[in-house]
Amino acid sequence: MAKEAKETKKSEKPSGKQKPAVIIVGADKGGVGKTTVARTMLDYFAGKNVLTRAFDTESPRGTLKRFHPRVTEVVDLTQVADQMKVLDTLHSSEVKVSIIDVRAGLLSRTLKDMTDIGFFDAVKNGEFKFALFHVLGPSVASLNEIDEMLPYTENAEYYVVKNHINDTNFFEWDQETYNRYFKRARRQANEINVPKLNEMAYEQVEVSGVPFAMFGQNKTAKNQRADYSLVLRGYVRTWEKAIHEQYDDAGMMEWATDGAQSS
Amino acid sequence: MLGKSLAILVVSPRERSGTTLIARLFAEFFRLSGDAPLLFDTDTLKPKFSKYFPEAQVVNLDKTKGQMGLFDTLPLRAHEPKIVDVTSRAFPTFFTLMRDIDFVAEARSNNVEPVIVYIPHYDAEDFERGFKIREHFGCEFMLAENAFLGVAPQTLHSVNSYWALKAHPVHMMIPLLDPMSMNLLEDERVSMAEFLKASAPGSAPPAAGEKTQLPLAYLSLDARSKIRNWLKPSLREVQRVVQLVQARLNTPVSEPQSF
Repeated sequence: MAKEAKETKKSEKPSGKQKPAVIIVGADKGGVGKTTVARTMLDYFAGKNVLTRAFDTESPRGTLKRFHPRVTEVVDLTQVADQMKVLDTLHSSEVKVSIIDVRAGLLSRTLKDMTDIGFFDAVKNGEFKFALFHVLGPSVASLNEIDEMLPYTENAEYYVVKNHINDTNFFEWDQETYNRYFKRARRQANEINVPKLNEMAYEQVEVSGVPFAMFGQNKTAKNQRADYSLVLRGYVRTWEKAIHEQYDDAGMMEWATDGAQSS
Repeated sequence: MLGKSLAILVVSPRERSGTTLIARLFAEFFRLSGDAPLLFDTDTLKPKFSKYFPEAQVVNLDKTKGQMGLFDTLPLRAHEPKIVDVTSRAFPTFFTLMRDIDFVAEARSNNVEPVIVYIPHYDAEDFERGFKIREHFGCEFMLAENAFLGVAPQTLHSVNSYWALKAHPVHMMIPLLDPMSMNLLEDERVSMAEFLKASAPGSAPPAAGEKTQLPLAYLSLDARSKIRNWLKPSLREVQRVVQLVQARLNTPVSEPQSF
């Protein structure tokens, strides 16, 4: 269904004005790699020269902000002031793509709060575009989250993200469980598979403190030539390329920039 | 202006192709030319290359650290040639990594040119694979035929990649050495350079009771002659192809040695 919606969108006349796009990356479980996913998304849009801003809800520390300091703001979405900072500026900001990295365990709460303030009504009315990147963990509890998310995805793009941090297989070995959860989600969800990144490469990126893309390009935070391992850079580049190709296949670029004036 | 240095990658998709022998020839050639090549042995199960050259680094390409030990070093130290003996077991990993890390571009940015020395068996699959590797990486490539592997069967003559590689401008042929002599030459204590020196006409035989590490010194004149008559043309062949590659790269050509 997600594919049909995309095809319908493609056939619609462009409005001539780019609708703000909001992408939420979240999980109701910690440690599944949602900030990693958000980072690859920022690299993706940067690589396409699409201005993007990000909100890191890991207040006060902000892992996302550590790697993408210039485009990321740390917010507390349980506070009205920060809710206004994010949502009230969607139309006014020149940056039309906003990525919200929702704190681990707060996805459902955040979506509920956004419902209460009328965000999903605005999505339904066509004021904003909304996409949910739901990062799953390997356990059965994570699979149950899919059912909880479906009501919020009615007028949205829904992506189920399988992040293979530990070579997890997401119950694909159990065909019945797979059929019960994923086949159902498949009717309304795209699947993004984040392959496992070489552990040493991941660690070195963490130590460097730069975005994945900059590490792959052998650049420091000051955009100068770095001295990272050629092998580890290659692993990061190949890994991120595999993810970005899936974003391309899912039509993320077209979805996010639909209605923008061509340069 | 300093020229490019070469990273010689001696590979074969199959075992018992003469990979280590040919890697040895390249190593000995560079040493005889006055260079101090960096040497790498990728066979951690049954290392052979590093037995001949104890200074060679043994790298395990199944581990990230081993991969870094090899590929992070190869593009560096542009004034030193490098030689890698790629075991057939490591062949798939080696080229996957080489592709994924864009090794050729990185090496070239550091004035190092990778040279793939490809040793096929005489079957279509090996020539197809070699052709794809040559086309994909676009770096210097050398077809190395080893007479020990026989001659191309008639069936190979209808394979396009066979003719494509045979027509490749840089092409070497290692002659056949009889099995007994090859067995002696493969002794881990044998240094080809020392053998050439010790077996040169007019060189003094070891004195009675004199200790020597070179077992070949005790060979008959006939045996020494056979090995010498193989070794000299083989080293000349290596010299020829190295100079050809250097000329193609417009880089200073090694001084010719009289082998």
